[in-house]
Amino acid sequence: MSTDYFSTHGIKFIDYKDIEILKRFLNPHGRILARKRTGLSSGHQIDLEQAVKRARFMGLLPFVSR
Amino acid sequence: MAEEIEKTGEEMDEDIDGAESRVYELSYLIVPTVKVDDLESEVAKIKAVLAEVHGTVISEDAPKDIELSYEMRKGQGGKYEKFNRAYFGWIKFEAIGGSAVALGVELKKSDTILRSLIIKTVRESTLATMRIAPQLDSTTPTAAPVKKMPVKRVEGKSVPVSEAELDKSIKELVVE
Repeated sequence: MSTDYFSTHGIKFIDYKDIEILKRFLNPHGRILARKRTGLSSGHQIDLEQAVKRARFMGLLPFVSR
Repeated sequence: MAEEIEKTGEEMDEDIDGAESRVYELSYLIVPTVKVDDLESEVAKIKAVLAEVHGTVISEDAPKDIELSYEMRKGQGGKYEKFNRAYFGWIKFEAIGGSAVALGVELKKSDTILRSLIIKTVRESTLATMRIAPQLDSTTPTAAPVKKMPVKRVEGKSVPVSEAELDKSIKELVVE
C-alpha cells in the first residue's frame, strides 16, 4: 500500500461501520498498522485510528485477537 | 436567488437561542434477550428520547443481529449479564449542539441498550463499502483469481500494393 487508499477511492469520511475496509489496516493481532505500512496521509491515518477505536468500542472490531 | 436560498437554509439551521444545529449519529447495541418482534418498539423508544431533545431523523438503519468481537457485560438486577451477540443499529439525526449529551445520558438508563455511541458526522452517507464493493472483491485475497483468457491472434490481411502506387504515394508525401 504505497498510495493513500482513501484518496484513491475518493473516501472523504472514514466510517467506523465500514469494518471490511478497516480490517485491511489491522494486523492479525487486531492492532492498527503503522503509517509506514498503511501508506496513508497523516490526516487519514488519524481518521483511521478514530474509526477503528469507535468500531472497537461498539464491538465491531476486537481490541485484541489471537 | 441562490443566496436567498442559502440564507433561509442557514436560518433554519439556527435555533431560537441562536445555537447551531449539528448532524450526529447514534449507534446502539440492543441486548439479544429482546425478541425480534419487539425490536421496532425498542427503536421507537430511542426515537421518542430523540424527539425529547428536539432531534430530527435524517437516515437510519434497522437493528441487525451481529456477533460481537468480544464479550460485553451489562449490570442487570444487581449482577452482570454477559453477551456475545447483540442487535446493532444506527440513527443519523440533526439536533442542537449539546442536546446529544442529554440523549446519551437518557440512553444509558435503558435496560435493553447494551452500549451506545454518539458522534458528530455529516449529512451525506459516509458508508463507502457499497460504493467500492466491486473493487474490493477484485483485490481481496479470498476472491477467486481471474482466469486469463487465451489471446487469439488475428492475422492481418496484407493488401498487395503495386510499385507505381507506392511511388505515387511517396511523391505526394514529399510534396506536402
